[in-house]
Amino acid sequence: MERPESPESSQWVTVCLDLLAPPAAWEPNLNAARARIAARSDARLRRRSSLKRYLLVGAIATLIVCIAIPAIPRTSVLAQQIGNSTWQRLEQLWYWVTIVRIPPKLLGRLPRTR
Amino acid sequence: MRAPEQPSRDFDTLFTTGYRRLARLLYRVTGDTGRAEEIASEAFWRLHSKPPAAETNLEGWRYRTGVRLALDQLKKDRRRARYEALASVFGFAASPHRVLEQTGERTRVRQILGSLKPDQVALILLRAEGFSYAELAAALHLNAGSVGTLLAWAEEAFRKEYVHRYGTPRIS
Repeated sequence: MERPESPESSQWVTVCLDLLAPPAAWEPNLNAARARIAARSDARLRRRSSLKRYLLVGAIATLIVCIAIPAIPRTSVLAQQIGNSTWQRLEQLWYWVTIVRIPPKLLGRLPRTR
Repeated sequence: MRAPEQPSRDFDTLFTTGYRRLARLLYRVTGDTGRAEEIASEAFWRLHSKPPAAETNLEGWRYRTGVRLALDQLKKDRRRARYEALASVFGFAASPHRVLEQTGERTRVRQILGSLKPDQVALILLRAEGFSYAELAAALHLNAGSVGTLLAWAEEAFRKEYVHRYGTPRIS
């Protein structure tokens, strides 16, 4: 491949970039940066472990509810009643959406019988 | 209870050997020591938290990520400067220091860097930091035989953009 530039151009770019050189006395603070990364790392770990804890508590609570409700006769009856009424309401909602709100369209008249 | 998450020894070695160099490189783009350090540690944080799966050249990855982050920051600064200029129309004048900063030669050079492709910027900056052709090829995953050409193209793109924006170069 052919090189497109002239040496002067390259030299000029070097001079431009020398303007951006960092101060000679400046020394990036390695320890502060290390501490920053360690702090972020710890924060992430804490976030993750608290999320895990919430999920675990939620799963245990759900399990207890699922076992306790059918096991106690009164709660079992109550759950059945709630389930039935909820199902009825859902059915009503479904009919309202599919039949009442948008009535079915008639496709055409049936031929008259003589 | 689990022990706090500790960076691996490999990461620590990479950090110790590469942080200063990366921060100094990024200073050329940001022009601010604090911000350069912030971006350098952000690049290392990304390496630590989500290390690239298929990348064996972590040094190159670090430089590319750092330069991209710094260029993003430069673009944000440029947008902010535009809003500030707009605000001056409504009576909020920019400070003399800010005006001087925006018209300085360093700012011009940074603006040109911000308009080039990130790979070209990385090439130019690393070269300015004293990387040899072989080091450039290794750091940026380039074919050693084409580094010279790519660098020359990047420099030419830089020069053309400068001339296009500001006319004949005043720096000599």
